[in-house]
Amino acid sequence: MDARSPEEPVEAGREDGASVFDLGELAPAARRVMRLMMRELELGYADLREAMGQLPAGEGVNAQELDDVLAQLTGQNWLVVSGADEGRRYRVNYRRHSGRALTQVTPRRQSGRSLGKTIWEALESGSPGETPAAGGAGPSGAEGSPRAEPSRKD
Amino acid sequence: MSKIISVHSFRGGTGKSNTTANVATLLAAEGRRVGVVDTDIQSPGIHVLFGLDETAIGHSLNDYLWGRCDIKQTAHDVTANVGGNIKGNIYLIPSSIKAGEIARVIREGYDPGLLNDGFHSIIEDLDLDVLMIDTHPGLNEETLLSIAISDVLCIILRPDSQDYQGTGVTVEVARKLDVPHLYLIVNKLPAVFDTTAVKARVEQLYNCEVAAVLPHSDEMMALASSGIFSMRYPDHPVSEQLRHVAARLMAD
Repeated sequence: MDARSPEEPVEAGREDGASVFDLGELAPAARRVMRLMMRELELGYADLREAMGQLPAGEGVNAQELDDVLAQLTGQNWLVVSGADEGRRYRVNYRRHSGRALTQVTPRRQSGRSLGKTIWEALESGSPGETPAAGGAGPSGAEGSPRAEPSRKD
Repeated sequence: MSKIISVHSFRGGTGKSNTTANVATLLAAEGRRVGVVDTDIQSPGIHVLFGLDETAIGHSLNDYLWGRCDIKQTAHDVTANVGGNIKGNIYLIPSSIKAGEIARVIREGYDPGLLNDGFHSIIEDLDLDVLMIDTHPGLNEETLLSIAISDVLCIILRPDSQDYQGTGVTVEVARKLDVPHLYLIVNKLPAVFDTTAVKARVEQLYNCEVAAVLPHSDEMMALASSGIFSMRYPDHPVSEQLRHVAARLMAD
């Protein structure tokens, strides 16, 4: 279970790799295989077959189903395979994670006052000691925070 | 085999981090090696409960996710900070409390595969019996990933209509993701409520076992996250219930 290194081939196809957002949309057999793979990260074919065979009655995935599911999941780059035949191993290939919705907000504001960009830059350029959260600011607050002003009964 | 336990709530302020910290401590008190990961990257806080001063946080989970260090370097042994007789160990993987680093996560995101790699590596590197994941409220990618890989999911809710509705969403997602064991904890129950009736009602509503109903506690409020409640007040009814939760989560 070594951490993935950038040199590994799993980087290929990262744009259409596995996403937990889509896990619920898989058919039950594929979802069970994918969930196990996410739990274990990497498994050999024999281990996968054994694990699927040990699922409770009615939830098991037989050998033919497993082969079909593995072909489907590797075909859509959710899993990457190494080795061949009975010795092949599978590993989860996560979809590349590219920022949040807020990232897309910033460029649109650049035509105006660039407020969003300014905020991010200000936060990122601040040294740890300059950030309001750093320095152990408790209820009394850091200098410049609202709490640092003269207290007033609510 | 190590057990992965995720603690989640749909809304903030339910007592998720407090419960996580207490259960982790109670499990460690019995001799287990427990890891706690703060995946609430956008609003971290569990380090406060474990008495880890932010100036003492060297590497954080953020550093690992951005490739600055190995996951093992982010683990802080906080066993000595919790008080009481702890036979095992508690390792905390905190998230950064620096505003710029929180902003960077929101702005740039990170590789969820790396987070999953990190969970597995830390279990192996520290020879953990239990890994507890303190999640971000609501449903985002790291939360869903944590839920998906967990052996046990514990959802915390307050007796509040907004919590009831949101918990329904999380329960539905957990079932869709085939989480093996799902438990609910009702927290901060006012004294005017009947504990037994609330437990029965919630279990019926979600068709899910309630591991505990924790009463509102003035002592807990007064402690104000400055320590581990079950160590400070071992004979308190809340501590008794937390011990029951710890045992229940490990029973399966």
